[in-house]
Amino acid sequence: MKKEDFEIYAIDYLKGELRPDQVNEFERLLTDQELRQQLEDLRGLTDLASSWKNETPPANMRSEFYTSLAEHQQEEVAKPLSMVERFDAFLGSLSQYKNIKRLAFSSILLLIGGLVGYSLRGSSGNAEVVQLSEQIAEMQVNIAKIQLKSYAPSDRMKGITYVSQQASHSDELLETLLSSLIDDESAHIRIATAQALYKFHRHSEIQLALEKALLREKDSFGKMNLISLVETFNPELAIKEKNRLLDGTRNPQLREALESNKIKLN
Amino acid sequence: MISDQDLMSKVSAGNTHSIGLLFERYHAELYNFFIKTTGDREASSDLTQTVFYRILRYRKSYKKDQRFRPWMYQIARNVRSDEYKSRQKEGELGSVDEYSVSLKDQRAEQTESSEERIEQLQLAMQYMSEEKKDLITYSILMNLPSEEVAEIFNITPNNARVRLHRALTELKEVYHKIS
Repeated sequence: MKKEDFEIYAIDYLKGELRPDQVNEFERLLTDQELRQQLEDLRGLTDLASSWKNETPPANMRSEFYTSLAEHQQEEVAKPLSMVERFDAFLGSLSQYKNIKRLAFSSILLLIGGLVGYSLRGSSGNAEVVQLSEQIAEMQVNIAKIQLKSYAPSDRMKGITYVSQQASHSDELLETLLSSLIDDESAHIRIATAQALYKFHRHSEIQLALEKALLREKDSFGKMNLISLVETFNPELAIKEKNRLLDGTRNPQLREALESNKIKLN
Repeated sequence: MISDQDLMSKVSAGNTHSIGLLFERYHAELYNFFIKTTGDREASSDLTQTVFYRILRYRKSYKKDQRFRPWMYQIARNVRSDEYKSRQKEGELGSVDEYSVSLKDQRAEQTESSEERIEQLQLAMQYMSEEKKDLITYSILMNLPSEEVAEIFNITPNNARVRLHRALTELKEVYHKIS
């Protein structure tokens, strides 16, 4: 090792990252008084810098991120497909034609499209426009119902997106959502459903459903999401479930996430 | 435990739910990277979230088997640079004086003996160029290995070591001038 190599190896030496043979070679350089002094100066500086304490991120960062993530995911599934993506989806659907549900779903969509086109053809005057709007709204609800019951997660997510964009809902649509909240096989869908239902959390029925979902949720991140929602109307249950989740996990990231959450532990 | 690369590959393939785990692993580290290089807590919180949104937006550009952390820090540097430019346009860019005011908030958290020296070091860091500040933050404050630091800057590990050494020498000089 030459004197010019000091620049290359000095920091790794201080950080203990050199191999034993490199340590020996480097220490031979330190017989030079000037280099030894430089190393001591560097040591003083790096020791001081290492004592600069880390800070805990603000408690709301996590909830803000997950809320935006859920919105992003809903936007992703709701955004219109490009021509290439549509063609790709069409090719994909051809291979699924053996599946009767898929075929029935495609036929219903085609029928609805035809009805809308036919209605638009003859519309004139306010009364007809109002009537047409009502028909379209009804069709959208029917499409959402079909989507929410579809076997394809992307269709179900489209249904949830529709629900989350509306101000009010039919009982039937809410019932379908409540069932997805508990029974859907995808944690991703259950989280999005919980977020969509939370909009109506002033209703005791929705609160009960979210509490029930929290008690039954097996996915850790799904549970964390539900804890943050239930916390706003039943903090006692949220704290209890948070403690339970904390006791049952060895995942250090999840533990850290739970411990730094704004809900206080008992 | 599932690796960062595997998680990011899942995100890249469309399973955006998996980014939650990457967020849990890295948001605190990223937040501290931004605090130490900008000195602004509020901005650091926003910048940290922006990095994850950008990871989602550019998920398709992630190459399988690419190391996740250096890739994430490349994005983090771009996010901070964009924020700097936008603040510069709006005339909101904080001065070193403003930074030293914000440092006073941190004083209570430091011990009496080291508080002043740390404060001077933090101030000295603000006089360094972005690249030097980042090199010191990654290598010394966050203890990242030289290979990962080199990947962030797209240079060889030896080049990273030499640049770091020179950055520290400059920091030492600035620190002595201040103190």
